[in-house]
Amino acid sequence: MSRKIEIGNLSKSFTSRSGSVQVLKEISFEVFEKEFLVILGPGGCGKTTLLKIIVGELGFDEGRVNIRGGKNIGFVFQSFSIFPWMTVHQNVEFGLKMRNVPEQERREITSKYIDLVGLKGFEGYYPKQISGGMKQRVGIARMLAISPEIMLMDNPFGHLDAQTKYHLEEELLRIWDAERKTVVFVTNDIEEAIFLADRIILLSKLPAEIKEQFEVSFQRRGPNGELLRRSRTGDKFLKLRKTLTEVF
Amino acid sequence: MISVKLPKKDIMIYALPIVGVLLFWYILATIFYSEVLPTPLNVIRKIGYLLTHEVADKTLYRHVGRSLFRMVTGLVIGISLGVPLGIFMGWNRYFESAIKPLFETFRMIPSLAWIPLSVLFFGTSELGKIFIISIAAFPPSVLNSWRGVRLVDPDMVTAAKILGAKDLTIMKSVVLPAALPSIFAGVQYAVSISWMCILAAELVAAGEGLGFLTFYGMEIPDTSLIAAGMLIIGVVGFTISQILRYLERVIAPWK
Repeated sequence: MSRKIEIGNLSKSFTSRSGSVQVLKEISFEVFEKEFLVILGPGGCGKTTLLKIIVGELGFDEGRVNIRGGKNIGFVFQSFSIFPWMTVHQNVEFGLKMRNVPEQERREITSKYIDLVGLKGFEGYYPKQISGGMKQRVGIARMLAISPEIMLMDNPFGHLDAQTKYHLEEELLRIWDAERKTVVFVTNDIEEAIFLADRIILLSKLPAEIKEQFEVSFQRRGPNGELLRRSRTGDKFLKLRKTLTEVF
Repeated sequence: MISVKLPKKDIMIYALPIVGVLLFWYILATIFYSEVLPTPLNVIRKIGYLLTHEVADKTLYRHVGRSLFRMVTGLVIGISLGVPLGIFMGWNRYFESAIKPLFETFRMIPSLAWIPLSVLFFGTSELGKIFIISIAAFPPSVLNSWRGVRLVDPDMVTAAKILGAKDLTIMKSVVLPAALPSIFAGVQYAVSISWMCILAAELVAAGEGLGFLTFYGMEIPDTSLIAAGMLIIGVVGFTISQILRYLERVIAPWK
């Protein structure tokens, strides 16, 4: 497996009037191609900061960040951050417009991803007319439309109710499997982490350090390489959940 | 008397306070019967008279039209200076810190206080009246545009950047639409402020307009004319604000 992202000894502090706060402390890890990596940690531990550094939105004090291959990175926000003045279609289309994709092609790609996230028939709706879960589907489709090699997801289901969350987690795995992307998914929800991850990196409280890593290989692929659905009440699931809860 | 038995409840909700105020006014005017306070009936009769007769050689439509013209011209000037300034203050931190103290001082000076200068600058010409209205429309235009741009969700800007938008595009297709409801609220506020300043603007050497009409009532003196002028200013202002409310829904249908 080739490495897609390499992060070495990354440190970052924020300075304000009240002094300096170290957020990230000597973080080192790599993300492999087509891997689903979950970064798990308590709220306000610098997970978002880490993602914003990877995408190039924030600088850092020390260490290095290498992205191998194409630098086309997609981002999904916890607060959705879709554009309220654009319809579902216009939102998904936005990145393609920025890339000057010709209109015909733009329309095809847009409807393909609107289809993929299950929003067919809602193309003309404004964000205020659809539910939170559907808004995040728009956020995911908007990201997928620019065909990123890496998908960074910042606690994307954190604002959704449990049922919607379960449903979207399954959908996300299906999309990830179909699109063959590298995913870095940030969450503070242990169960969500286990359900989604190939691997979990556990972060500590501030300043965030890597506490432990967990390979999650059970119930992932069937004999023919097909994606399996992990049982949330299976023995292995519950056992890992117990371990993670104890060290969280 | 107006019938109290109305078919719909919501009509009652609007009508009751109006009837109440008219009644109170009527009683007050009857008790202090004098030249000082006209009865509602006098005022309505006066409006009827204004609709059919000229006052100071001009019809009521001419007075209303002249006031509206002054307001709109002043408003356009105030808004077209204020909105871009506000947007730029919200967009650029350095510019904001540089301009803020100046602007905060400026906006504390009432538009009435500009009248003496305006008379010296523009004499009794039309420009002076437009000047006063521009001064009144300026601060709310700046303030709301500034706040609107300043309060755009930073994640939304980040999202656009990650999707490949450059600075100018971010400004045009993210920041401006996101701030538009706030900018429009500023414009709405500027409209009502400048309309309310029509009286101040027409205080000096005006020969027509609703403000003039009201002051003219003081000179003659004719209290019914004063009250009629006030009432017409109120009703025209109310109509303008209702039109703007409707426009808001057209401009920002996603809200």
